[in-house]
Amino acid sequence: MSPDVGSPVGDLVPPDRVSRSGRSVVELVGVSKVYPNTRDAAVADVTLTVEEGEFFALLGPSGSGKTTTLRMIAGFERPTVGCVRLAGRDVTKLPPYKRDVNTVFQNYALFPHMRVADNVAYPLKFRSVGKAETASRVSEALDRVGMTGFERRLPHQLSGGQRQRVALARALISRPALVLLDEPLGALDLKLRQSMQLMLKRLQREVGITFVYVTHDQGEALAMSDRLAVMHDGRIHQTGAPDEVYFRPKTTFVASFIGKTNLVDAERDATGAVRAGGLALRLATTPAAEQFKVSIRPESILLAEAAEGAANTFDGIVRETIFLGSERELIVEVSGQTLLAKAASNVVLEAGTPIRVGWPAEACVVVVDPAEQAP
Amino acid sequence: MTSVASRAWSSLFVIGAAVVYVFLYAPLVVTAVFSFNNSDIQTLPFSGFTTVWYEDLANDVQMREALLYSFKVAALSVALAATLGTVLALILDRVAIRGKGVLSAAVVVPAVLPGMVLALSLLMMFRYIGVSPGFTTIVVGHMSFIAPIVMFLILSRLRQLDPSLEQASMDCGAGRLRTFWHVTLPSIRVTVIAACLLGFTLSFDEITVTFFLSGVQPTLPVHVWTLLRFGFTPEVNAVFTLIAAVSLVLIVLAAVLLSGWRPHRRNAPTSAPPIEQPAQTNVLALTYERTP
Repeated sequence: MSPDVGSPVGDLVPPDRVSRSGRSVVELVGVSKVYPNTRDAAVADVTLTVEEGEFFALLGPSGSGKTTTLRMIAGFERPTVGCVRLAGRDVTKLPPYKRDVNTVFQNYALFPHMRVADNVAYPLKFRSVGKAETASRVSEALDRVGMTGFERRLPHQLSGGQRQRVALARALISRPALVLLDEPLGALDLKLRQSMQLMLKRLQREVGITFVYVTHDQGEALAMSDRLAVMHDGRIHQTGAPDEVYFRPKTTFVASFIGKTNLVDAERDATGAVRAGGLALRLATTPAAEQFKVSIRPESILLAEAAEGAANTFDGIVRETIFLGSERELIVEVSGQTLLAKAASNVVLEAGTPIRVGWPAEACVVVVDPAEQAP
Repeated sequence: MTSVASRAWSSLFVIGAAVVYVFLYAPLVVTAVFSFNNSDIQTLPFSGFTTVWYEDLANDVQMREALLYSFKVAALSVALAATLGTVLALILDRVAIRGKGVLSAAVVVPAVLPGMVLALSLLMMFRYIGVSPGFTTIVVGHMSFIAPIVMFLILSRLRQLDPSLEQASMDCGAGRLRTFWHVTLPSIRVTVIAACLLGFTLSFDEITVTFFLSGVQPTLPVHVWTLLRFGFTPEVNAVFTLIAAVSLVLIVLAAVLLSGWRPHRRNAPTSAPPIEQPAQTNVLALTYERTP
């Protein structure tokens, strides 16, 4: 049985932009993974390149194949089809212990019978590193993650955040070319998560090691990564810088998974005019497809006087307002379409108030649903 | 009314339980008591406390040789069974091979087979290949029923292990053998020890298989059994009491180890760590300030 590797998204996603440092640390070429006795591929035709020194996030909901992708880079899984390259070298068939990669596991995977110092020193055991150098590198690594003084503790004597930092020290100590992180902050509470995000980002800048970071938290991915790939159903829907992915989503999935958005069904007629239900939309470019969706971010919808003069202006009625503290969400009905907009939290609008809404042509982003285009 | 009835039921339950325990332990207690009785014949009343039977035991050369022999047999057969059992458990747990069910069933057979069948078939096999009964045959016989028990105990432990630990080890650059030595073996060590203790008592107390496979030198239980044929001496009480005591200690130790007691809290939850204390974030803040 051959896996389904035809990629409807592949045509939409242009090849990765020209590298920044020019040296790729990880390259996946047409990688698919089909587990035995399953019909659908866990990972389908994934192609991506991670540059040296990058903080790269793999973002997607659970079951999107992001962890499987990570495990294929680490060497715990072998791709059914495709090729994994590390620093230009084909490692597809190499076991994990022959790859210059270290992983921070979701449950940290610290060795329970070893003290913190021995856990951190473990990778050096297998690289001829002298005793004195091992000791100095262990204390340096523990210092980097703020765990000096915990050398003699056993893992079960540490809190979740502390274990996390020890796992990080263990991943960094052999100075690998690449560190993989599998939802490393998933088990931590919100406050700690935020401080750990800062620490991770700072650490990555300091050591200059490439990070590939798996997460299902879009906020985390946007905040931390230099570039990210959005995955869904085993496929990469879009790869790019956080702002690019946020403002110029390519698929309906990316548009709706990252942040909130208004997705409206639209169609283009022969003259190039675009209509979405009762709305005549003006877009910055004429789309190639005839049937598509348009994504309009709530924050790009202008209200009242601000809306005047925008490429798209319509009369609407406020249907509902939701107070969120720092801002207020408005649900506005515009000729049959319901749109989500944002206003300052001190703006008070009663439901039923007529209001002028508008947005620039660039705010309309044409997105497609690859599942609908698939044969 | 109901309270009277329920009280009657519960006292009946207590009596029933007591009867069961008396049945189980009375023989042991009687044997132990008579091993200290100052009389050649086993009758009440108790004619006085003595340790003379234990002294006799200590001076009995045949008995000492049988004891030493039993130790040697148990030590070697347990060592071999532990190695074999561990290897088989690892194969069944890790290696993707066809017919795993058949393999594991085949390993169990010697452990569930009636001792006599196992003993006779082994005896016939040894005769066929020309190995005369003696130390080697007893060790092989014991190993054949201890190894499956070791294997199943270790297999169930292996299945509890967090696979990410071994992956983390390989991720750190350790090959399969080093991963086994540094990570897997320490994780199953307690189970291996417990299985060895259990195997030791099984080997030490075994009669049927040993009886068929032993040559000139008997093991302790076989020697005692031979003594019984020529009449009952209180010396036998003493040796039974000792065997029972040592076995009980080993079995209790094995049970404690297998029940999940660990020197360190090995199964401490890693996935659901406790909520951090505020002091924790301060540590982070400090390191933050330190670095430029």
